[in-house]
Amino acid sequence: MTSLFNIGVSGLKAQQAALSVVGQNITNASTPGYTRQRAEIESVVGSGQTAGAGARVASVTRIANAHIDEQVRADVSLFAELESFANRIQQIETGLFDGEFGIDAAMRDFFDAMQNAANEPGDLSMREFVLDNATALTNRFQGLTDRISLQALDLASSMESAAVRINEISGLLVDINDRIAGLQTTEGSPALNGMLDKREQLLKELAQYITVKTAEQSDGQLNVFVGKGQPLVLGQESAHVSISNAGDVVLRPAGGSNSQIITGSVQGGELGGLLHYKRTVLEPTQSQIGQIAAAFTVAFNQQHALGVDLEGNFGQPFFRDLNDPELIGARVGFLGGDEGNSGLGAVNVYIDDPFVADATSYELYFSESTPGSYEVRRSDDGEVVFRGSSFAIPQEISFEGVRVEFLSGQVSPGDEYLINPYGNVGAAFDVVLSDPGALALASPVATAVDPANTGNGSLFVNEILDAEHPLLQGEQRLIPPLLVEFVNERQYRVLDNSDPSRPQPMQPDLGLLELAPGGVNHILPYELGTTVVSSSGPQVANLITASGFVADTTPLANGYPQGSLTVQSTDDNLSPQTVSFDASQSARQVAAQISGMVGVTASARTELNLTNLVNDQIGTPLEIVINGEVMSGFGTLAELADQINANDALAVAGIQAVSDGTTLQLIATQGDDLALHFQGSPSESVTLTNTRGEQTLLRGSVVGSYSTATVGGEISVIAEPDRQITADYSGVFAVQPEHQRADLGFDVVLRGNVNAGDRFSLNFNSGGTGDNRNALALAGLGEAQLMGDPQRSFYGVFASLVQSVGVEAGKVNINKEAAGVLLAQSESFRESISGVNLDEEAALLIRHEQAYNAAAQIISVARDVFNVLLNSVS
Amino acid sequence: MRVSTFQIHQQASKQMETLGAQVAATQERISHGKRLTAPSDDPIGAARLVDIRQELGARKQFAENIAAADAALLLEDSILNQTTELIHRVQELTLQAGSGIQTHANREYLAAEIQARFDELMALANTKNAAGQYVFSGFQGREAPFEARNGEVAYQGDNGQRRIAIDRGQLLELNDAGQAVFMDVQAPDVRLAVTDSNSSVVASQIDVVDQAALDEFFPDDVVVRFNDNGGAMTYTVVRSSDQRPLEGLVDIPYSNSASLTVAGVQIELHGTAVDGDQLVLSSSNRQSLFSTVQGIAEGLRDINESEEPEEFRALIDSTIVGLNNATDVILRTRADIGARMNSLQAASAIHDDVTLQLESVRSGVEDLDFAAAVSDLAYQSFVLEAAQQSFIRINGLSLFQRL
Repeated sequence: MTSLFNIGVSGLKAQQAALSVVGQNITNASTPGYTRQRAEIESVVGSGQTAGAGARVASVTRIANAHIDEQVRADVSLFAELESFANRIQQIETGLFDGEFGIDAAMRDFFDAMQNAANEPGDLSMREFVLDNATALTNRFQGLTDRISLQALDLASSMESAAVRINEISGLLVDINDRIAGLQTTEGSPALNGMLDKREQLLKELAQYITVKTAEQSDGQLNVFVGKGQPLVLGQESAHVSISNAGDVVLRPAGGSNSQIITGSVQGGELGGLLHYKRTVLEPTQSQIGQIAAAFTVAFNQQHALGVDLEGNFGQPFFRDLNDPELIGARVGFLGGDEGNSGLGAVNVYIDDPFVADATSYELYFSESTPGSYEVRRSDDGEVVFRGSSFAIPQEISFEGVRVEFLSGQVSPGDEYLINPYGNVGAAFDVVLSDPGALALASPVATAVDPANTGNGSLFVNEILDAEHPLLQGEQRLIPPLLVEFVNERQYRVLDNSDPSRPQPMQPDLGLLELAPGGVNHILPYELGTTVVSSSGPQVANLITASGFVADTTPLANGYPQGSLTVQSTDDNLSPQTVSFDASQSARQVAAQISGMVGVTASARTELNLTNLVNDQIGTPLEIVINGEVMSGFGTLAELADQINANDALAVAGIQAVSDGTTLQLIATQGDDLALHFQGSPSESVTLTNTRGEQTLLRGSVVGSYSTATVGGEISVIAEPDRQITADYSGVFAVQPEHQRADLGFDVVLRGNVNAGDRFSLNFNSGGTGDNRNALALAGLGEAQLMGDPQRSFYGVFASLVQSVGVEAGKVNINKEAAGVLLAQSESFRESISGVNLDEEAALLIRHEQAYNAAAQIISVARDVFNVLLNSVS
Repeated sequence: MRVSTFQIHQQASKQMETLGAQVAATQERISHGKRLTAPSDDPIGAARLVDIRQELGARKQFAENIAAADAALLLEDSILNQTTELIHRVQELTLQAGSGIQTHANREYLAAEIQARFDELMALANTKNAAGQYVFSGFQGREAPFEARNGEVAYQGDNGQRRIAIDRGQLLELNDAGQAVFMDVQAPDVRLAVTDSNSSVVASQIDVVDQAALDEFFPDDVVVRFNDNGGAMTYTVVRSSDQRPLEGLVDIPYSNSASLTVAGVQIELHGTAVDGDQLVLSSSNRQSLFSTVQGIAEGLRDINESEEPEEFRALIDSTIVGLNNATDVILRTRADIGARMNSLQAASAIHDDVTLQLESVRSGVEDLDFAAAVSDLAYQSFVLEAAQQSFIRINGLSLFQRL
């Protein structure tokens, strides 16, 4: 009887317990992280012949699946990473793409203002407007970079809070491990179930900040790992996570041994998302905006320096120097290594050429294994751009248009530094020119057409290439002023016009220049690096005379020895070219041969002077034979000159005479040898002087007897940049002839036709307040393709920045959606197993209630049976 | 599959959240009228938009440049138009003066009027534009281009022609230098004039005595050089081309004045010379409009028709030729201005066309298709409502309500 009674009571107790589990489930139906539990009721085996001892609750099972929990954590990490990335990039992309308020619009406004100033360069209000727009432009750049810096600050503080929370959670996980270790039961206890729920909830929150891996020990304690397996929680100890000043994630392992930088291996979660965003969007964007500002500064300042302002002074810097002393020292940061021992002192980073490579920051690594050896890598793609083997301060290294100067301090093996050339450029972009009159809108060179010209040609200054050229160093004048004089429709000379009544050959003499047929006629050598080499050998222009008299007018040879000339290029793709000359070739022939080579043009010219003509008009008739052409019947040198100039054969050969009456200058403009034969009475003579000052007296004798002399010509060779001329002998050219600068620092173009005798003068453009040529050049920078490879305009670079940020933002938005769906799926999968269904619990409630009632009936029946028994006894 | 109650709630609320966000995004697009509010909406479109805006901006600026050029050319054309009328008036007055019935006194009145016209001509040629810059001085915008010096009008400007961008690679001249318009007029005869001097010696009178000799000398120049020859100042006259002495004028003593005849021209020199002084007198077949007008005004006053009839006739004839030549130059300049204005119109038409096309491309990339957006909005709100209602229905299904 007692057994039935006991069975009923055990049923009551078991069902009561089961009901309380159901009640727990129902009340926690909406508790986050709660895992439903089930009371497992088992029968109690009786002893002997008894039916059994009733039922009891064997355990309370926590219905969970560890794999699914892990999946949920992974999805939480992924979603949190993408979400933090997406939230940040949204702010930047709208900042970049700001329609009327973007930096592209500000650049446009600036160049428009420049064009308006070009339309009226003398108008101060237009100039003021340019400065206003320049300030607006730099403000826009500063605004954008401020926004980025602000975000960088916000990002740093978000990372700090994440680190703080990670440390709190790892502390709590250690507590739980501690308590689980104290429980001594491994499963089925409601106390343990509650703790596991708590632990799971904490892990899920931790996953929001950083991706974690877990491993459960046999005693139920959980170990947590981050990054590449670095332990965060090990049993009852936890590591400490912090963020360094440089923005790195630093892990100090439990036990306090050396800290490690784990930035590179942190993945997922908010922390991973922020790091990823910083590396792939924030820093590159800041660098690229900095580079646009840098390129803008350099391009504009360079062009501005080539123009002259209202006062005729060359342009001063317009935008603040990129390599301002305040900026160059703040472009290096410490990345890692032994922080205590880091000792880079003054390090200056200069931007030499902002056009050459895509902007990025660089990482400088000092090898741990080989002291002194180091390398520089691009931060964006990891490409090594510089390698060195023996680093010793002071040290200077250059790569990709950047120059780094290490002035003091010392480095240790394993040190890592961040070189960020463009990071501070955008914020420092500023206008330093304040006087609108100092805006250099004019070109320094003015051209003038001689009103007496018969052709309709005119000269245009196409481009100023070197404001530092000696020619442009005069105060408001060219040194010297130039005159371009055409000897015929194709050939011309450039003369020193310091004295307009007596133009002189330039020093160095460029020789007779020739218009290139067709195309643009660049009148002056203009490419920087163009040089001129003159024939300066000992045999050049020697006076060759015959001893005594000769009987015919065959010219004497000019005495030039045979030899050769070689043109070499510093460009390895071009092989050296050589021409050989025969002995006694005229300068004209040598020049023609030299001009046949690529990269050089040569011209020749022969010159001699005749003086002291003694003409007695008696005896043997006076005759002077020039290159076979007989001149006679003249009284003075002036008359001789007129006769020479009237001779068609000599004119065809380009042989001209100029005489002021006392001297006759005989010139072969093409460099033919000049051979003179003199016939006259013994008392008659003329003195011949060559360009080296050597003299000979040509005297008369009898008819048919001549005294004779020959003079050879001089050669000027204009060599394109990077061409080196050598000669194998020292007869006409020196073995290593001197290369003199030939370009004049600016390019002048001829338009229209010219006739022989047409002249153009080139002077400094003083008072040229109405000149807008440099303004046009400045305005043209707006669309110039200057940056990167392939070359793009400022707008082009900006457009691709907008595009790349847009693509990144679009990608992360889609990925975030996808991660959201995955997270929802894994969470609902977990819910489908571990979540509470109220209908199900209601059904269980009814079931256990009925069972409870039934168990109560057992007790009632037992009592009845007992009563019947008592009554029957009594 | 087993579904937890929490899951039912969560799923429904997530779904409603997503749908609500979609409705809000569509609504935002509609309120802005833009399809593209952030680069991530369409990264390639956003980059194109930067390019398109740049191109539109450039076209707008070209249009502004064209307007500025148009104003400048109109101003110049109107000055030249007035100048043509002025020349016609001087021509009339010259013809009137040349008629035999005029007395010398009458001619002096006519001369007075021509003198007034001359002043007007100076004012026209020295016109400033709205920005205070002289129209005809080339690049020397602050310098009055024409200034009377020693009875001759000299050009102070330069040959500069300011150009303006009216299209990519197309630059158009905004101005014409006064040298070409007023100075370089074909003269009836070759003349000699001082063009360069570093001396205080002036050529007070330059008279052509033998036109044929001067014609032959042209285009050479005469250079007068002063030398201190052992304490005595002397001068040498040479021709510029080859420095050959003219008329044997070598080391002629000079004491503050000299009269010499070279190349058919009689030259009177006055002033103190120092060693190294030089004067360049260029022969020229050009005569400025000013000189022509000034010449007739002075001639009518100075030459008595009855005493020097030949000289008077020559003056009238050469003035008429000079004025005709000046009119030709101005008409040619005006024709050139007209051609430039045509270029402006052509460029302007191109910019208008391109702008129209670009606007439609821009609108295609950036602007919202309202019909589609509004119908999207209607559909999205419909789905949201349906989700809300079904949630309420599902919520009603609970076993607890039956207990």
